[in-house]
Amino acid sequence: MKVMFIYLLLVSIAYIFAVIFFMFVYLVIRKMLRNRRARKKVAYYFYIYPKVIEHIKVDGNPRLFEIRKHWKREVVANVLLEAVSTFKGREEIRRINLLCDDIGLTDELEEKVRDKRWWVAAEATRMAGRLKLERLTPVLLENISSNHYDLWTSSARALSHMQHYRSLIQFLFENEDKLQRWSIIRIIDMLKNLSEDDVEYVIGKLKDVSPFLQGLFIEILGKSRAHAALIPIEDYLDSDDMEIRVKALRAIASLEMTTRPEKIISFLESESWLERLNAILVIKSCHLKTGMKGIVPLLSDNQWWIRYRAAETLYSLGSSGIEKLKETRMIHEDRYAREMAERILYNHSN
Amino acid sequence: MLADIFHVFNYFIFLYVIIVDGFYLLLFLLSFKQVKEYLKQSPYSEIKEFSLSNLTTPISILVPAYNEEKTIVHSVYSLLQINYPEYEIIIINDGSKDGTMEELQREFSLSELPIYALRKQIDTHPVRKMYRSTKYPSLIVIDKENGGKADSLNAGINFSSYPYFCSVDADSMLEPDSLIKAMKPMFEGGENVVACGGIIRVVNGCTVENGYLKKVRLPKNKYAISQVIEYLRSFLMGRIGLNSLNNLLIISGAFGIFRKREVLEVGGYSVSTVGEDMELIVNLQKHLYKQKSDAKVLFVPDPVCWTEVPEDFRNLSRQRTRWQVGLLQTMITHKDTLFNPQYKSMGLLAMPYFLFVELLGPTIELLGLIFVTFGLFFDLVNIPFAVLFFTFTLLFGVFLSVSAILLEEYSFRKYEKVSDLLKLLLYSILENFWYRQLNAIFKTWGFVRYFKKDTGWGVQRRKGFNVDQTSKSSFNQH
Repeated sequence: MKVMFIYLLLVSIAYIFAVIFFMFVYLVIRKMLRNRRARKKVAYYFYIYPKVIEHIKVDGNPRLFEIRKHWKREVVANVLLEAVSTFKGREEIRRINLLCDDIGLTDELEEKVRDKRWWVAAEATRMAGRLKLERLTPVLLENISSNHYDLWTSSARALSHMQHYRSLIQFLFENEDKLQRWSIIRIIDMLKNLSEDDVEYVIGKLKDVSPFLQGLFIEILGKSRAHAALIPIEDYLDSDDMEIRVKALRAIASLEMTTRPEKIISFLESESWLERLNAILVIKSCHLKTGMKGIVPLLSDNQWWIRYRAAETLYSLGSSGIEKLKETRMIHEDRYAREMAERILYNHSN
Repeated sequence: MLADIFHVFNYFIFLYVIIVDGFYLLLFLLSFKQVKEYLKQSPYSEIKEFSLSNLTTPISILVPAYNEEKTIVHSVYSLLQINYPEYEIIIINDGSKDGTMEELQREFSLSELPIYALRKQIDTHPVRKMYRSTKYPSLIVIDKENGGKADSLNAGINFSSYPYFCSVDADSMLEPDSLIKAMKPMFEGGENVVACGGIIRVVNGCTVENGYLKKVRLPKNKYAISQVIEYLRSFLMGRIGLNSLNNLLIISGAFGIFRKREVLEVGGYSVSTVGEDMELIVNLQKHLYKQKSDAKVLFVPDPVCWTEVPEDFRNLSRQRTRWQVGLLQTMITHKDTLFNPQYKSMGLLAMPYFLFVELLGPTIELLGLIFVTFGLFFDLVNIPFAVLFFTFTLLFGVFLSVSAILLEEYSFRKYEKVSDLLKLLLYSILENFWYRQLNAIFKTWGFVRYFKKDTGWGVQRRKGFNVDQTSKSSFNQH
């Protein structure tokens, strides 16, 4: 028995020793090779950077960038990714796309976007989106229906980079029941700067979708500052669904204009603190001085955020609002109202 | 008779080592798999998108500070440069006796605030004053009476405005993207993540400029280098491995993110232990089990917090005995969870692991060494067997350390120089001949401290960050 134990231990020691030795050698050689390659990449980056930038700014000779080595293509791709965050013009983007075609990057990314390994496809999708490679749009539209969360979210993000908002909106309308709420919110967050056509399309469809999606689109219309949507959004102030009313108030606050001030002011007396809060926000953003009278009692509201926003709004309404705050600080019967007025006046005195 | 007892103990040690080493091997394999998965995701996850999004949840950063005059300013600057859309920094000066408060006053132009109507959700020691920086409005300083780290964090929670908070040690620095990377699981997981921790790395030896980490290098001090390897082993292997089993029972106090709602539900940080970080996570996990919630505590390997580690025997011994006392207090407080099927894998796997491996392991190892020496002296030991077994355990220790370095090189590669890698590899061998045993002694001493009821924090001396002097002028211009 003891002999067997000793034999087993000897074998184990020999194995572990061999494994450690192999790991040592592997780690050191890998590190040396990696550092050598990194140095080469840095040198090439500094060499190629001005040429690429020059090419983007002024039409150049594409042959300059005939690149066969994969690592060199990686460096140029990185330069291009940096460039797209600076060069936003249509002509410059066209040249970036041409350059991608010339060095074979578009083909490489197209192949990768179709790859079955989701992480390869997702990474290629991210690059395609940032480089605005329109040629890959059909594949991205296919991938948006992928079952893999990471792949479809990166496809959605890429499409939003390329401002294909309509595709995303259609995707949401058609797949709402299949998507998790959080995923829908993520996509909605990508929809910024909707075009006039997109706004019109959303307004046209708004009545046919679920209240959840309605609320989100109302909010996004507000954030996109789509003034054409003001009247349809204001119609939702009469909705039976409290959440929709709140979203409509929030959107109006973002649009900074309203045609129904009395309706907005009536929300200051709502039983829902969310409605009261968002009505205050609208009064502030639309500078509705007629709302001041309704705001003063909210300085002693039982919700901290309401007291805070009410005091902030009074301050923003100019000298008469500030006077109300000073008065509250001195003589209001409620301690919380006095302290909030004090706090806001103090904050603005610095 | 003596020989029989000796043999039984030997067999026990033998079995114990085999089981524990087997478990470590399993953790390594699980960690490798999880790191691989994480690396697949990281290239295309758009951190920038989260940092610009209105949907990104605002967060309060809580920094308890007690006698931190040497590091506090750099820590605050590193926090001010965090890439996050909306956050507030709350420094809680826990009755420091050094110049911590004066340093903050001088550097950040603090202006006293009226202590506004506060929802005191957790009882704490009295708060003396509250300040806001006139240079950086998101920076708030609370000056309170000394009550310990847990009490300070509780005070910070009372003053925090946002639904999530992040606890950061005052001798630590976050990388600019750390917060957003650590919060990412919360955005993606929605309601399912209650707490999330990141990796802690050793800042000793690195160069800091304007609150930024300018150069990552290995420290020169032997205690600090050994801790670099220990931290890699502990975080890249231990935490990631336990995380993949959904059995995380600790998020380091130096850097952890929590959802305030659940923390308030469990009563905040416990002030009766010196291991408040583990105590909170165990409390949270128990709470989640009782609520039958599917929410999780997660560990993400990429968000980095750099922290200063002790560089001498005295400070290291204080820190390690304190950690051991904290662990022991938590194990005793939550003994009801041990082998309790009601707590599923936490009761049947994680708690026993912490008891037999983390708490008792070092002491059992030390006893094993003493017994073998004793056996050799009285000729009770089969010498070839003892030598081989000792060699096996040492080699396995080296294997685990090298595996942690392998994980690091495979994933994040913070140390760029080949010379640093060689140094790490060399120390991964050397530490098995002194640091490991030293740690075992400190941890065993932790039991003595506990039974002597010496369970205070003790004095921890800071050396301060290695600041690039050329940057000092620009630092002052902020």
